[in-house]
Amino acid sequence: MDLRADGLTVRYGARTVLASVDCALPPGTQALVLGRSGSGKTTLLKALAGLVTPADGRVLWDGQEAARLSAAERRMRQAAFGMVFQTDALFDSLTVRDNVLLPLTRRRVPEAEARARADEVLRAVGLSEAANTLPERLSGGMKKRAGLARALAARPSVLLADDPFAGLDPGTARQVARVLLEVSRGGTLLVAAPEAPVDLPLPRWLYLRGGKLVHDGPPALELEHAPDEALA
Amino acid sequence: MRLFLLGVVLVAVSMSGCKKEEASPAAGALRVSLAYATFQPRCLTLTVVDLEDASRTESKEVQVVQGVRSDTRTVAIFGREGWSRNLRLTATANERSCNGALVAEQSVEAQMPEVGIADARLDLRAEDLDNDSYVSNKGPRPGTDCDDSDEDVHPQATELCDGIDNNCANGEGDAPGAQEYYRDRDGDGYGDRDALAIPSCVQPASTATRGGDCNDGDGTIHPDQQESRCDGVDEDCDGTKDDDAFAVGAACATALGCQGVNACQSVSSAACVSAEQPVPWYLDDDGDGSAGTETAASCVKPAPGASTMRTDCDDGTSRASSTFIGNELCDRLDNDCDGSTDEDLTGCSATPWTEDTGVGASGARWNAVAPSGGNRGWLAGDGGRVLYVNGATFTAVGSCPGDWKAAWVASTGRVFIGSAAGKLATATPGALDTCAEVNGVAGSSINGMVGFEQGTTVRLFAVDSQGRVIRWEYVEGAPSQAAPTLVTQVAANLRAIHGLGPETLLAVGMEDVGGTERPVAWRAPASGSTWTKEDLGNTGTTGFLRAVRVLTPGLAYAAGDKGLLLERSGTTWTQKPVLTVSGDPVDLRAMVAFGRTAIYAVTSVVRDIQFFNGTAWTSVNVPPNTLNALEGTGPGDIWGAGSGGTLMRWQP
Repeated sequence: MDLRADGLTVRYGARTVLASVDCALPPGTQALVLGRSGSGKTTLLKALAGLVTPADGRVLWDGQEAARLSAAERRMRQAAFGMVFQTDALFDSLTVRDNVLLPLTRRRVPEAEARARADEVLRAVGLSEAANTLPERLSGGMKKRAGLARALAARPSVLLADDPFAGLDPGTARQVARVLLEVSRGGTLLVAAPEAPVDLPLPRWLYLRGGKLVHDGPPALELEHAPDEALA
Repeated sequence: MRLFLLGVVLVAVSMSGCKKEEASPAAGALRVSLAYATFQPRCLTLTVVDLEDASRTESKEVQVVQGVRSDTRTVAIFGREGWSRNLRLTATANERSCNGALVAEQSVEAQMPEVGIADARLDLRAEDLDNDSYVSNKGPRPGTDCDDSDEDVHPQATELCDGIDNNCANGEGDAPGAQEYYRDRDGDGYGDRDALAIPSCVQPASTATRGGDCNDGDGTIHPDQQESRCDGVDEDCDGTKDDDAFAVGAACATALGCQGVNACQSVSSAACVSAEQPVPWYLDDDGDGSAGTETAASCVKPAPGASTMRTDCDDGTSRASSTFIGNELCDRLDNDCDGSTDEDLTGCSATPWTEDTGVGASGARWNAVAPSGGNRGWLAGDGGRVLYVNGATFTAVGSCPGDWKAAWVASTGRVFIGSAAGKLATATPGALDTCAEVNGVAGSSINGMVGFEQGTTVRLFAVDSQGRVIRWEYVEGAPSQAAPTLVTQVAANLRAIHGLGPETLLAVGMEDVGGTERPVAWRAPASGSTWTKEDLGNTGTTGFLRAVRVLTPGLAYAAGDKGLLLERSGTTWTQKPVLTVSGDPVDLRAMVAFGRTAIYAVTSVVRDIQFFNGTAWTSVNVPPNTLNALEGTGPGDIWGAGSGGTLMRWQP
């Protein structure tokens, strides 16, 4: 999917959390969305996925304005997105495999194929042996990988990961990064994080500060060390 | 021109005529008499100036006799070569020394005779009446004595605090015992801070012993007080206006947490004023990482997990939030918060309820149902009926006499039941021949129960018709069990109890208010042992609350007679839409809630299983018989039980 933010502005009450963000994210874009807490990273991902309605500007999906689509059309197009959130977002009443199967069932993927795909992504994230376990029995890192598996199972053309390394130990974070890189190959991958993950060297950085996109280009390490004022 | 010589030979004749000296007879001379009186000149000087050329001048100090206050001194002036005969003679006297004040002066013109002697006279007058060698400071050539009538008063006198300016300087201010006083025009006890201090032995009028008054025209303004008015005036003269309790200008935070500065609101009050605008916040009550419970606008995060972005469309259940995007379960919840419920799930809306009748017996009346997951659970009813359900298999407990009114099942599958006679019992799926009974704390009907597990221990809480809250601690595998104990007893007929733990328990039922039955709820203490009666607001109804469900620490529902459904959000109870049938409220006899948008209830009037989606009630099933009990392990596993041995299950 060709993603584009065009003067994208999002407000929560009187507070502007995204201010006139412009960026083009053609298919295959691999980018980090960086910025400090509260800079608007999560909101940008959610807006790109059509989960947040812009106060101004627009989000375009293959040239179509997401906000102008009907609810049914938007849901259909949103099927192209896979999202990994800071929280694991697993249904606690379903096993790990059933959680992963859920988006496939919804897309009416034949059961045998769905099971095969579920097992494939569970293997990819190293959770084959935990497939029949309820989420409550998983560690934090395993839950994160289970959520990643569910996002990947539907083979999204756009994978949005919101701080997928939060709360993970370095080893698990490395595992999650490896899976992200492997399974998103060829698709669009946007990973939001407060600072550039060592194990995820994506070629493009979108750096947000106070809701403004202050850098869109190759990695610029100085951004992370610059005081806020210098970025204004 | 003759040689002119001044004072080479001096003839002095005292007034007392003691001594005489002869002048040189060689040439003409002037005999000048210098007379002085009423003072002692310490530096008597005679100056001669040639009137034809003022550059020709001669001066001579004339010796005087010490201690003599009136005398005449004679000076001879001889002609000098190059001078004219026309001279000006000037006599001066200074006080005490030649550097002292010039206190007397007189000039005369005289002509030097060519031969012989001519006389000239100069009289000097100054007043030193007290003879202290200081001349009065009054008159055309004043001296330095400020009181010429008192010989102890003069510039060299020692200053004393005696009411006199002894040394003629600074009044008494320079006396060793003098204090400093400050001008105090407004009489507030503090002198003008800009005025010079007044040293004095005696406090002058309109002065204060303290200075520092920054406004000596206003008696309410002075140091050493607190600012009492918020008026832009520095009342306590500390350099800061409206400080102290008003703290104007100080950084502050408003009640909503907005950063600002204190500013006067009236003369008696100040408040924190901020340009920051508070924004709405959403709390994450259900702890699923997504916030959805709207709370008051604030500039600061009101609680951990709160967000300014609402991402949870039902904050009463962790099964719904926008993080589930694209994932929807068939459970009548909008799991992914996209505004649609159970969308794109084929056949979900048509998922039938599994209906079993005659379970246990055709006439069995099931009062309680306790599903434990995996399509297993328990039924409890009148006539000693206790039955274990495993899918489609129903196994009655062999012997468990009593009319069982309440049931709760542990994760182990062990069920706990309470009877109309106040008994408690327990049974397990692995030992269905009998149940283990214990006597309760009284003989009143146990109407509701809930348990909490910790390891192998179950802490069971039950309520009865006499308002008792009973606790039974059951330890799995223990050789003997402790007897149930009374936690508290309230003035109510309690019908149901629920909570997330012992500290969040809510018990509901009915209280008698002047002969009228009113719904009532009691809350367990977070600590201690005193239960609190909840303020339900004006429900406008009579009768019982018959069911309660605590979903989060901040969210609970209670349901009862007259279609009453109450929501407790935070600490406030509000009434939700009343369930009516044909326009009339109907009694809700059982209710189970899984979120703000997923509440099931059954009524005593119609057999329908009713569903409340947060906005409106709808009938989702019509069982063959009236149901008395509802329970569920989740919104996708609902059990109902009632008359005619009816068991209903919805497990899409």
